[in-house]
Amino acid sequence: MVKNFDIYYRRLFETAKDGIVLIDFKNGAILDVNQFLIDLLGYSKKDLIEKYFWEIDALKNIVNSKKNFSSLQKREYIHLDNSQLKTKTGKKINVEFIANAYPVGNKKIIQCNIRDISTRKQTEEKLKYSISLLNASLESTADGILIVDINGKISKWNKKFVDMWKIPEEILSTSDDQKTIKYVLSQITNPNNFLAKIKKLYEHPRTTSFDQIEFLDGRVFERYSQSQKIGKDIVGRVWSFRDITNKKRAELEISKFSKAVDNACDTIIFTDIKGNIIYVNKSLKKTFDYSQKEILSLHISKLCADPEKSKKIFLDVIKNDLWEGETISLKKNGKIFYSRLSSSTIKDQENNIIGTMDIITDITHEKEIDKMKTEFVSLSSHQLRTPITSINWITEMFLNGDFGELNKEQNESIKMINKSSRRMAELIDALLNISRLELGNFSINPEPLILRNIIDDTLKELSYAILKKEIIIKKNYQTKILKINTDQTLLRIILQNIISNAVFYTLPKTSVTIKTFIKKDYFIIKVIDQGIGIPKEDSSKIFTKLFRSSNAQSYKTDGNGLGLYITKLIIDSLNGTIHFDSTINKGTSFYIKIPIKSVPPKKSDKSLVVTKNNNLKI
Amino acid sequence: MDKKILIIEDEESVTYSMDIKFGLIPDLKIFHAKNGEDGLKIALKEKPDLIILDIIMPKMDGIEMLKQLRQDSWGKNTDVMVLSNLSNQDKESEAKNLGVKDYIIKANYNLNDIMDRVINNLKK
Repeated sequence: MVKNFDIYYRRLFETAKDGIVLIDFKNGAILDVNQFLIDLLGYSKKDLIEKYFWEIDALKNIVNSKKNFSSLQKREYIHLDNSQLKTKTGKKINVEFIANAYPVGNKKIIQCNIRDISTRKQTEEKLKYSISLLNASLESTADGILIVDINGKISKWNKKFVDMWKIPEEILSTSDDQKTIKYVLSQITNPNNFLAKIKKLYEHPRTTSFDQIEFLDGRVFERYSQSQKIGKDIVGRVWSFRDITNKKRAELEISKFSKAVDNACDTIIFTDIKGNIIYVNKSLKKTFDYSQKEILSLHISKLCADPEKSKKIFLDVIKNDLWEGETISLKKNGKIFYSRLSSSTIKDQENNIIGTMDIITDITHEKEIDKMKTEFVSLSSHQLRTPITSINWITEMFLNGDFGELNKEQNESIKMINKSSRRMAELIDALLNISRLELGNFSINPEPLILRNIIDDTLKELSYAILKKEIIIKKNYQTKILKINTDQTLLRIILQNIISNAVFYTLPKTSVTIKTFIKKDYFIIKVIDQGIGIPKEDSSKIFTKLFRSSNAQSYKTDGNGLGLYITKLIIDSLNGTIHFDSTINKGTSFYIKIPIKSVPPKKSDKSLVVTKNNNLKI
Repeated sequence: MDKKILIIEDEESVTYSMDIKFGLIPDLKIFHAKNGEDGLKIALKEKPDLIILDIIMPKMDGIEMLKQLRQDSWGKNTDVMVLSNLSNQDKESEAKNLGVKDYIIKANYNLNDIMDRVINNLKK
């Protein structure tokens, strides 16, 4: 039968790049196979010819039995997209299989074409992988991406794009770029500009472009667009969008902050970890007279009159993260000025110290004002004291009888003048002390003192009042206390205030008890009166400046409201504490605690003033 | 007593009080000066037994006067009491280093007490 094939058909059969096998339609016996199939399967022609199709191992996957073959006979056509053959050596090959029955002369045959699709299959797998990779990349990127083909049809987008632009899927799925653009334009601040740019890009498909898009709702996107190419041919355009709203806001914040730093009145300096200056603000020129260029990379200690101290401060900052205090700064021209320095560490995200920030404030003017204030108080108190001296002394001479006997009214009147003048002298002392205490401008000279002697001295000054009010003084000194190491002036002022208060406010014919003892690391002085007491509602204000409780004001009209304030400031300066218990109309107990370990000495040209109360007998 | 004191004080009312009070001391001769410069001249001329010295005064202040006084062979050991209303630790220690007996804040002292000290100083 084969002999009836014309020569061309034979040639085609022999040279085809598909495997071809011809089968007898009637019984399924193999009539012929071409060379390609022989090569593909690894069998010889002899192995195949005259065998039944289902007897061949390699072909069993397709037709495995006679029964199976009869269904092929019935249908006369089979097309298997992807079937598998096994070669003689056992290798599996993916094939496409097409069987067709047709008559040749008076005989019917089936022609089976077998095409090796292993390579195609591999390519398909690769493509599938590439597409899945592309999809995964598209979906996992932080950018919104839209791909439009050369005709303006939307070919791909990721979910991020949809989210960012809030575009309904139904618009995108129409693949119509114009509809999408329309939707987009309604959201942005400058749609015409955006549209013009898109138009230009469509006209110049090769252009890559970058832009920023501002939204009506305040968001800001970066847009990047470039052509999509296959080889050299442009097939579309990729648009990617990035939401930079937060970045923009942060930038704005930083720019505001850096503006504030740049223009701050105080000098602000950043150094690296070694203390070399890496940034200074504009104020530096004014305060230190260096230009930016001159100062950068200089060491921070160059700005201090005492470079060694500056280096110490720097190490202290690195160790403790913060240093605050006063320093003396050095200008470029060698002049110095007083400054307040606040220096702190700068850390990176991993909390490593990368440098310091130093804020320097010129306090020359403050210092001058402080000095002026101190001098003013000191001088004015001197000026105020002079006329008071004369009044004191002259009235005293009257009362002393130096100008002859006074009648009762004269005596009372002069006494009143003298008393007022004495009060004025006390007030001047109190104001002077407050000015010094508040500025911390007073000396502390600790020395061993016999506590009971100072208490007794104080009581002696008050002896007239004690006698007149018939007050009993109960002393309860713990014998152990011989010496207390502290500043005599300060201790005297404390005791004068607390004991005189007790004497003044205790009721006539009662007692005042003074106890001294040691408790833990403290000397305790306890002064207990049986007086008017401190109203509960006043107890928090009793140590404040110029405060007098209502009952004290009516009981003793000539207090100045400064005694307890001064006392508290002094006790604070000695690292001690003071507190009280009080019951209205029953009495008050003050507890003073002063550490046994004295505060260190402090030098100053000013000391506090102790008012001598030896005039009280008048 | 036959003693001499020199009061160097610019404030008239203060001098007035002291004149009256110290006038009660028998046989005491009182000299006056209103500033340090005059005070120094009178001191060197009259050689008083005690000088009562103010600090803040015109022309020459008390400390300067004291310094110059101590340069003099007679003046270097003369008794001086400072009576001032200036409470300043530096001035006080300066004065004490220059050998003054007392540094008294006038406004805080009775004139009687001051007179007692004056008499005590003169007795020696």
